[in-house]
Amino acid sequence: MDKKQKRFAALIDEYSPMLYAQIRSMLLNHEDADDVLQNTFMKAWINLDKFNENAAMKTWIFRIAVNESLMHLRRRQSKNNRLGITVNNDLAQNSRHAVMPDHDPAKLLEQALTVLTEKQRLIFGLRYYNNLPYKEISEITKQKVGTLKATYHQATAKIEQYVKQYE
Amino acid sequence: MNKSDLKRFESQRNMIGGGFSDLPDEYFELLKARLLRETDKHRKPRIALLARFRYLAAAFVLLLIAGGLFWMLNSELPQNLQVTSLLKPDDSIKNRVEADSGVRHFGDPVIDSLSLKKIPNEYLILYLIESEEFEF
Repeated sequence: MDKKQKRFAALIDEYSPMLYAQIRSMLLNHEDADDVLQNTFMKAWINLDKFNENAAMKTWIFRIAVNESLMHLRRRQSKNNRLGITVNNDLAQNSRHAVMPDHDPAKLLEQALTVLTEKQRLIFGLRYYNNLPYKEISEITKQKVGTLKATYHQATAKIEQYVKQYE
Repeated sequence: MNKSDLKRFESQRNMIGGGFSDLPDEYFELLKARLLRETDKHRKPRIALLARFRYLAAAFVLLLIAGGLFWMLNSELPQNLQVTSLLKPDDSIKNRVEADSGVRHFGDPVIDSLSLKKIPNEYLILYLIESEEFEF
């Protein structure tokens, strides 16, 4: 293992669980999240030599993950359009989870994510799962802190409403 | 449901990878191994490319060495010869000294009418003919 690979291995150790949670909360299924996470790391590998600022590494790799996830969602949407699928793609992707709401907290939260919009899931993932401060989320998403706070608030309200139905 | 309800997911939130229910066991270890294998694949084509041209490169290097040697031999041979010729001991002076040592000095010759009479006339005529100073 050379120097670059060692650096890359450390990057995987540090960020793979965080990035998985982020990508998974946006794409809602494991298979897609796995593909996108791998693409994210391969893009990071290709550009690792150009990127030497460890301080901004987190923002950089999260930006790649978010962009890859959004691109995947666009591709999925365009594929559905070509096939004439007009149903809510997120719900369709997760129908096996959404049909029977679960009282297990893990599954209940996963199901609740399906009622959020793409943007809400993006902000919820960064804030809730990864506990990032709004300033960092703003750097990743290029959105204003006020907008981010409002979006996160809407997302949590929707999740609360969803969970309440099954109590 | 109030805001505190999200706290029921707190344990979920702190689990590795968000604790999603269908996250396979040892997923992150396997992912790391897979990614490192991928990075190896990215490196191998470069190595394979070098391997493909290794014989050509070796032949080129040999050709360069042979050419260099040939050039060196050709350009330096005359110089070497010159040097060896210069390194030969110069016997000329020694030989001359040795030759001179055998010479006996009799002093300046004395020429008088008596000594001239002893020289045969033929020799005197030949001398006078060969002498540039004498004109008939």
